[in-house]
Amino acid sequence: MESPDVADVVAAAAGDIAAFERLVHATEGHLWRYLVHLLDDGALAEDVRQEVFIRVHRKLPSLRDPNRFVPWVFAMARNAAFDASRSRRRRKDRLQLVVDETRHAASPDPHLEVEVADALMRLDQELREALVLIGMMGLSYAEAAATLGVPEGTVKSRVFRARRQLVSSLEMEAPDAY
Amino acid sequence: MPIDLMCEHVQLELSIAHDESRESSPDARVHLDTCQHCQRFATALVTLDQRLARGESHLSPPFRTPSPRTRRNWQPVAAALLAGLIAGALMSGFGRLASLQAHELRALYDLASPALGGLSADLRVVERGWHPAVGERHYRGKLTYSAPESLAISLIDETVYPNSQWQANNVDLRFVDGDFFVRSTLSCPVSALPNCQPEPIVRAIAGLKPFDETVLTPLEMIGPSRSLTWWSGISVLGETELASRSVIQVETTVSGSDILTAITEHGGWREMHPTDRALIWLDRQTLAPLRIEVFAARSPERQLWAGRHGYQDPERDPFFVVEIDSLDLGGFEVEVELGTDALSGGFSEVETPIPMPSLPADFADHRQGQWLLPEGGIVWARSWSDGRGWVMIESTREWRDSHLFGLPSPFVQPLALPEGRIGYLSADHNRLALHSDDEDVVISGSVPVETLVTVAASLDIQGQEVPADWEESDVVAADSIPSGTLVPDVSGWSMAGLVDGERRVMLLVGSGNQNVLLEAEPGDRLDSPTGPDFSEVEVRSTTGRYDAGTGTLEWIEGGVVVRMRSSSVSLETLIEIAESMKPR
Repeated sequence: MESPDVADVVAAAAGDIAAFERLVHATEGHLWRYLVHLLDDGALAEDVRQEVFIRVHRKLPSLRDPNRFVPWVFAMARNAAFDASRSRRRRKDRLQLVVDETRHAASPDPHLEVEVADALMRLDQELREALVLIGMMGLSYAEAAATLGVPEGTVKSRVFRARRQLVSSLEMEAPDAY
Repeated sequence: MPIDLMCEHVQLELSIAHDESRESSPDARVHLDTCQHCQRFATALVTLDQRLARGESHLSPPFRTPSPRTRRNWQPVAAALLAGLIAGALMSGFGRLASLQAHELRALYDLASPALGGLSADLRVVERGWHPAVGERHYRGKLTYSAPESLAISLIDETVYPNSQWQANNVDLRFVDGDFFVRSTLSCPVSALPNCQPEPIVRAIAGLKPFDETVLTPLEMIGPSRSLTWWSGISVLGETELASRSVIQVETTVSGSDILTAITEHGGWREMHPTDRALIWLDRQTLAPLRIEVFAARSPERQLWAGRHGYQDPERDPFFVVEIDSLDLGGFEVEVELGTDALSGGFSEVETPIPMPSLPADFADHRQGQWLLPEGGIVWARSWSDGRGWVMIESTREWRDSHLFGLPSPFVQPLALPEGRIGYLSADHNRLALHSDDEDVVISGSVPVETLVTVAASLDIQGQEVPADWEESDVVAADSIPSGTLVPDVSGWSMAGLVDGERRVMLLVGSGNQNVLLEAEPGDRLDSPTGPDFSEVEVRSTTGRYDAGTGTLEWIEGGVVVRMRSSSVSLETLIEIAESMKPR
């Protein structure tokens, strides 16, 4: 993802609402996708995303290094997702159905899309999180490490293991071929 | 190295190099040349990325989320002012000419707060220009408040829409001592209506800390505490009567008051420009708003904004009107049902070690407990109230960041406290921070700044200067900015500066959400324009440049490039501030 303008982070922390709205606009889509991958629930992801932006708005003044905005937001989203998943009850409301329909109906290759999504969801959570942040959200290793609270080397290793398992489960290349 | 370990090593490096958009090492490339397994893995990496990206591209958020405090852009105009005066006169007869000054409003608010234990009122809202197919939207509802932090606002949309595709913009907001609930719709782009409206969403949070930011904006409906601390752009037009109650009529802008945000923060509302003019009738007894009218500003930047948003607002008629009547003062109860899916606000009520500070009479314990810092560490919080007024102390011994705990920006004002101690006041004067070797504290509240200072002085904390590597250490009060620097001379604004070599940065904070960032640094030319919205303007007897898209005014004066930026005030206000500047 393209990092938000650092000047907007500084201005938003100082109370510039327009700057805050730009930050929201720059990150909301990525954040929602990240949350969907964590929660596997579009409606809950939306609820959590809104809650995250409220927390971001409240806590932005406490962020002192504006260059760390992206991992800071993703870490907040991750914590919020864990809070939510602990208390959630499984529900399939209209919004979730809309999301599911969007996922499947809009894809040029619905089967492939479902296959990839299913393969992702079969990964261990720590591997899936790392791959989503790096391979799909486009965070740097440093940002992902800050988000997950682990060393960069751990992120590199998890992303690699996630790819290996996906390559295997999608039958793109058998990992034990050598 | 065994072949499988070598492949593992090389494939890991391929994965990392792929993510870092660089070539792999020479050793890895040598291995790759001869290893078909690793070649296949390298190919699979690219294919996998494509498949993930393809799936990702079809995974789209269902709708645009408004920011927690949706705010807009705007501006003022003489014709609208005249229209507002006439409207006020027609409604109530010409009131007395104003003897009350804008800077005195906050004192009136403070005087009224201890006596206000609760209120109840009826609400009516008219919204015009939301969508071309819906001329006006009408709402009716109820406002109920119980001091100090329980509130319910319910609005029923009574609009007759063209057909059943359109969704009513009902809002049900309520919170009681840290439990927060809202059911509302979301904003959709006008062009996407009526099809894009999702089902109303419910957000429930259990356990917010006392006077959390989430509830402070709605509480402005009970009295614009934060909007009146500074008075830039607020004018008292007169005192008169409205529905048999004495009222003070003030004029400000949408950005100059949080009251409109209190109404429109939740739900799918039309947008307002920050400089649109707001007429507000404040109840003389409580300073609660009784009527609000919003008029379109008539500046070029507002017209640009309206064109881009598709609004055609009349100049003489308000496009947004809020009426609060049947005001009943007394004790009222607010109830909230969160349901089982409530998120955690992170605050738990427990006994804290925070002692009782020196407070004005009638302040009694409200809530206390703890919350956790994002990076770990406990923050104790204890609050008191005397009715509507409140004070809170938050304290932590685990603050590890290199800036003051609890202050919203590095632009702070150092304060000398008794016994050589030092405190730091936020730009909005609603927070005061103390830093010591083993404890960091912030005192906040809806009380006068003198009360915050009294509370700080009564605490047994040796407030000291922030370390030299903290950002606040470079910030100076406006009167300490290096001699020769151009400094604004305007009233109603808080001002603090930051000296960074030859660069000077000043932040002006005004009423409501008004703020202006002013930068000055040596230079003899402006950067090339980057957008289509630039225009030449006369400023300080020279030709400057204004970018309506970003709200930036800039000019060159005495070998210094001066740049003022704000999304909350008009060009006219920026020029007023610029013209007031004098070398310190």
